[in-house]
Amino acid sequence: MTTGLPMRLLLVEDNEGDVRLIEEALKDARAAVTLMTVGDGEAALALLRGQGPHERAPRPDLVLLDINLPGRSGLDVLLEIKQDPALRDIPVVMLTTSREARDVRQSYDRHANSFISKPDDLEGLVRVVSMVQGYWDGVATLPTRISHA
Amino acid sequence: MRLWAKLTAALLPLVVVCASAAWAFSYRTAAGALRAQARQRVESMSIQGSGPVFTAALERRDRAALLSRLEVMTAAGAAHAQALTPDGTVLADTRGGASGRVADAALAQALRGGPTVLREAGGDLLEATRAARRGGKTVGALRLTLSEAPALEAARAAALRLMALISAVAAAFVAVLVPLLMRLLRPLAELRRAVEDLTPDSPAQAVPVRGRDEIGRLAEAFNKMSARLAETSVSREFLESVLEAAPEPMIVADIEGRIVFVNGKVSELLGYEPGELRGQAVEVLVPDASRVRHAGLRAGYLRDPKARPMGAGLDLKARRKDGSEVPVEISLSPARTRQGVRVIAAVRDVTEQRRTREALRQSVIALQRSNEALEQFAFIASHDLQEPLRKVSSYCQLLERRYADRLDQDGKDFIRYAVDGAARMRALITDLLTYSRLGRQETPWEAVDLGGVCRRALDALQPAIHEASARVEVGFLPTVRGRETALAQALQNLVGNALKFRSERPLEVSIDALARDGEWLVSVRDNGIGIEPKHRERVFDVFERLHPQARYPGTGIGLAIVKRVVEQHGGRVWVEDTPGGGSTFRFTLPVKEDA
Repeated sequence: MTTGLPMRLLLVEDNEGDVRLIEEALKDARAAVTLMTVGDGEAALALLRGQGPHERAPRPDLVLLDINLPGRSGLDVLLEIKQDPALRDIPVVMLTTSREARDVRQSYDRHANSFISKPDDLEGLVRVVSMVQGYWDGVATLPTRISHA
Repeated sequence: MRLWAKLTAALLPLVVVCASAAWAFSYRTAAGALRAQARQRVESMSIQGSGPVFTAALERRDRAALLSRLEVMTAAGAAHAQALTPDGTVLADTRGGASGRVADAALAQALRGGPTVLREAGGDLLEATRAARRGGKTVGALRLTLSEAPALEAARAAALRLMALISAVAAAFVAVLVPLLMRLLRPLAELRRAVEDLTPDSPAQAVPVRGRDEIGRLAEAFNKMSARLAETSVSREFLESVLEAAPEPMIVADIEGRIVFVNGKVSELLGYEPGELRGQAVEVLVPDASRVRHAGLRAGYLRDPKARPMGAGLDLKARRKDGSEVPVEISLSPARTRQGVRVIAAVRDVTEQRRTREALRQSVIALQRSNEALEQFAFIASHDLQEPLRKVSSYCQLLERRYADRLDQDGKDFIRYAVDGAARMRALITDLLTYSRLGRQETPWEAVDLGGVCRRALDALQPAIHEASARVEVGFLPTVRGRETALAQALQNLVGNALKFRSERPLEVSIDALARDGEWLVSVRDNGIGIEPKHRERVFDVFERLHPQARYPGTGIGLAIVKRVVEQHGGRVWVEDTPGGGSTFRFTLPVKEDA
């Protein structure tokens, strides 16, 4: 069930080049997405909780979370989101360069909704973001969308 | 008291008694005989003397004639003689003084008639009284006295001679007998000395056997016994010199744990004076911390004494006299002796070995750390290298996509080279990551069916097999112990290698295994381009390539991975020619014990 409104996507990624690359990939994929970006875990949690400068930020439909972040790691942020009753219904997709089995296991242990390794080239990335958007916004029903319905 | 002295002491009184008895007997016999002679003589003298001439002179009372007659008798040996009237009046006497009267029983008896009356007159004198008759009428009597002294003297002399003879014989006997005895007893003395020298630890020398008499036989028996003893035992001196000659410290203790013997090396090692340790408890050589336990363990050892190392698996130490400790290894062996069980401890100073071992252990630890750090570094480096590389490649692609229409051919070519370079570097990094991951394997070993592993590897290679139109044959493959993913990677790399380095002719690959020398020998054969002998070692090195990238693309890490996997599984890998052309890669794997 779609609302026709673009899906609000929170990208937690510290590297500008990567942020830009994902933006470009979304553009290439023609995905109907409103992208919000923060560079570290603290900012991500503040935004999700509507604190500080993010007081008026809308609640995202989906979080794309990197593992290698400055300060608190992505896995730490994941744990906090999933332990917070107000936030834990928001799907979190780990998007990382890691292919380590340990990272995969720890992510799912902390209730990540999926784990995606960043593809090595642009084409792959375009394909992946397109699929992520298509799946969560088309195939699956997001909890945030129920209230909007 | 010696036997010869005993014999002499026993013989001597016997000789004395015999000599005395002989003397007494001979004296009595001689004295008796001589006295009998004296009696006969005095009797016959009296008979002769009292003949007609004397009777006539007596009848006539002719004193002078009587006296001369009497003096004839004294000349013939009589001590003195008297002529007596029947009433006892002395008519003539050779001692002079022919006066007085004699009245005694002997005269009365002689006058009554009959033979001569003999009588002891005291003072060795024998007195004979005989009546003188004429025509049946007693006219008087003759009295003669004879001294017995010469006869007794002669008897005494004869007895003395006999005694001297007996003494001489006895002396001669002793003079002959004692040396003879001593000579007879000499072997006994030798035997005694040999027996005195005989101790359990040193059998005596053989004693000389002289003759076949009882002593000779005894000597023979002794020699036999001594020889048997020599066969069955070794002298303590010999044993101690053996222990003394040992290159290592040796300690002998008795069942109570008292030190019976230590060789010089012990004194040297532990700082004692020679002989100082003898008689002390072995625990003085044990460090204070283990002393009580040692005493208990010693008792345990004696319950089942056999040769074995002491304190297996422990780092033993011995205590020096000054209290310092020295690392040692000790082996124990029991010896049963006539004095009871002895425990022989051979001690080895292992200070140097322990030091070397510790140094080695430290190097191994350092090496392990360095290896781990290196692997960690390779892993992190390759992981972190991916990130910027991905960005280079992605942005190049983005350039291509967005600006293709604004670039000339050169610009497009440059971007393509950059993209190719990035792709190649990514491949290198991926392979390096795979290689370094092999060093970080933490998954446990399990039973791995190489047949199944091989099938999966071939499935993964299916597109390449198809593209090469290769015929792949899989023979027998065993089940081994190891890590499945690593072994699959190794097989996949080997078959991938064969697919890549194929020649003009149709490619045939065969994979099989056989048991040889207690291990599995796995072979991957191809009929491809083969490898020159001089390169056969190099091909297993990291990033080693024999061919230009354009012709045979690849990073050159595939065989290095194979080598690492095989070695991690305890095997070896090498390459040979396939008869008729091509390469045969062979590797070994240990035979799984329970398979």
